[in-house]
Amino acid sequence: MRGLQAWLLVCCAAALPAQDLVVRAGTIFTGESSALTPGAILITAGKIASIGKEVAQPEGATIIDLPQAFVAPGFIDCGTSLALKRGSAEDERAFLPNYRVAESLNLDDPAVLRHLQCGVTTFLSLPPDTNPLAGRAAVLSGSPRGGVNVLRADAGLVASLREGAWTRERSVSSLVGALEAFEGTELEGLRTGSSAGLLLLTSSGRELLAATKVQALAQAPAIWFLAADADECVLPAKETARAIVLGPVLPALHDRHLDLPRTIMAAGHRLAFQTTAPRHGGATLRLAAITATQHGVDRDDALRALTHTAAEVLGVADRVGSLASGKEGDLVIFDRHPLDARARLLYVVQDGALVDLTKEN
Amino acid sequence: MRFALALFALCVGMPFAGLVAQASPQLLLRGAEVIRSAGEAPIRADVLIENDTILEVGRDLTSASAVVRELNGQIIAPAFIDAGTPFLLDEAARRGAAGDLAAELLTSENAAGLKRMRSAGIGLACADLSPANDLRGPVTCTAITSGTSPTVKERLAGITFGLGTRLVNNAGRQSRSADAQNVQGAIAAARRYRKSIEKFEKDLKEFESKAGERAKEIEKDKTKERKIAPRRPRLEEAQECMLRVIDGALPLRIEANWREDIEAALDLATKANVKLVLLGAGEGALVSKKIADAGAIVLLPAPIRIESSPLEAPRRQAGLAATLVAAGVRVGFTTVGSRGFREDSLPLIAALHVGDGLDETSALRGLTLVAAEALGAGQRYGRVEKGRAALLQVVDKFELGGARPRCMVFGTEVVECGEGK
Repeated sequence: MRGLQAWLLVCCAAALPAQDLVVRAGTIFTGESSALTPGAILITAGKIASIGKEVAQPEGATIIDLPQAFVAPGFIDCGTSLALKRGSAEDERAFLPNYRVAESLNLDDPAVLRHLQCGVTTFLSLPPDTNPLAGRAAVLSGSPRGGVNVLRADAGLVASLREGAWTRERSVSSLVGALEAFEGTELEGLRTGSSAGLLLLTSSGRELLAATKVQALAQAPAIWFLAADADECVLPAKETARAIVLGPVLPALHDRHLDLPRTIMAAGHRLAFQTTAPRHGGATLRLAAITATQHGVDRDDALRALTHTAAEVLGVADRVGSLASGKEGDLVIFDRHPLDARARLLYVVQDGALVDLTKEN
Repeated sequence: MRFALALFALCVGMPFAGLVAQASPQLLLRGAEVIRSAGEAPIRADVLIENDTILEVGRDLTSASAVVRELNGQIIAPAFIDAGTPFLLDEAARRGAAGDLAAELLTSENAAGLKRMRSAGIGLACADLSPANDLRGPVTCTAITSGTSPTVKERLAGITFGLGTRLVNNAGRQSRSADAQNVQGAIAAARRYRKSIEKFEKDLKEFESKAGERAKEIEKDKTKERKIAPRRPRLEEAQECMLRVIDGALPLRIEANWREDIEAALDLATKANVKLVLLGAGEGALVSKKIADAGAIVLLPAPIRIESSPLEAPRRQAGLAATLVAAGVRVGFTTVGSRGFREDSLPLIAALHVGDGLDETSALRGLTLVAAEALGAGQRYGRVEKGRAALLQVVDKFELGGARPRCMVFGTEVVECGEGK
């Protein structure tokens, strides 16, 4: 009989993967509107059912009640190579406009759980930057039970202006090269916004100029990916950039690079960060924002760059990046403001379920 | 001529005019809240400094000759100490090209880096070669005063070796045992020097005691050969440093990350009966009790692994600093081996350890007193107290929130750090 009960329990647990969860905290940073101090969130079936000063507490719900804690939306990493299946798009310098990251995922990438354990619940996976037209990036989220969910299968066409992607004959600095790049590419979708547009990968001033040409040719809105340590960094014109993704931003960079986040924001650009994981781990995403705050960026603006702004940039703000009723139950709970370097990550909630922060993998 | 000299002095002095208060034999910091040591409550007091040393901490101090600075309730706390940084060294030395004595490799022109360190509250730092450098050696304790290069305080402040740090580069076990033999060899050599010095001293005594006798003999017999006085054995600085290590005056510093290397380091230090400072200690949580029993100090790099390197350490376990402190280990911090961080990141590294479970008082202690102890200078630095070195920061809050100090105090020199958050 006891065996049967245990079996039933297991069945119930499997059928109800996400139990109701109530989180009460001293501060809830919603991402969009002003913070709730204090506030409460009810997550049902993986989604936020209600949020406010107080919420209903269903029977049997898991309760997290931390009057001193600080809740924020799960962090969003705007540039990784996570969950990529190896081998499928590794032709160097090949035009692969129709390659889709979302269609060849490696669901068992252990780095995804490590990212989750750092509070990064959503990330953009870019195809290899060694191809000039590298294919379509995807917005993904790690699942607390393992595996990967696709939030947006076509998050934009990646055009890499990086050195490794181009040959001398087919230099992107010549218009011929750029024209060739777009031959046979469905540009209409990029322009009308059914995808996030062009994702332009650059890492130097020269590449940035080339990217300007490509952008002008495609006439599609673009997200500019800048390496934070570029030798010279000229910001793109505001009207050509939907957003700027910067990274990896590390404390070791030169002062003129560390001033970039503030400069980019001051120029009126939308700013988000990338880690380039697995090269750099998920913890460096928060470190980038902390570093930005030490170089003149307002703490809440930097936190927004990790959450709501990043979600807008990736075109998934209707589901993640902010805490509002109907959105995904993805959040992080720290013992103080997440961008205070001393903050301790207490819980990560993904799809309404708690992520095991101690599990080795 | 005099005018020309004065003009010259003016020109040289100009760049620092706004930065540095005029040097004076005495400095009186009045009306401060003094935090003598991390974790202690502040006391309302004045601090009187002469040359490099704190003369007095107390109420209503006066001095006829002192330059007075009113602090109006601002906090005086001990300056932070980086117990191991590669950033004060030449680029070439950092990459591993040069010799093995840190004092010889200090950069002469890094005013910007020193300013950044001061702005982070770091007043003292120990120059150490980075782990990428096969040749480790004696480390040097320096102050980050207003000059363009660090001021050497203790030319020898310990000696660094690596255990297992080259494991990934070279093939496996062989280099691990070679590393250990390297340390053992240095200790054995130091013992031999000690013996040869003892022998020299004995010989010298004997020589001197018989000097009169010999003089008489030579007087009698002019053909008799003159005896030459015994010579003191010559010591390289590295050997002299090792001597002071086996005498217990300076610590033996060993970088070790894998459990078996940490255990080997503890074993070496216990057998040789020397003070041990462990750098890295990636798997230290597995042997925290042993580290505590050996009385070793641990210096930790940042708890965030930025990028994998060929000198990969084992995966650092969550809560390492807190686990070590709970076991009774003294924990400090280092920018050696903290890839992705720079010279002014030390308080940030400590703060990230707080985020990883360490209590803030222990973190502040690790930045001050423990760091001083790791340099074999726990009696001189790390506390604001009569008789100790005047190495202070003036702050609004003594915590790891990223706030800049208002100014740093090096002896009687006050260096402004500027307003800032």
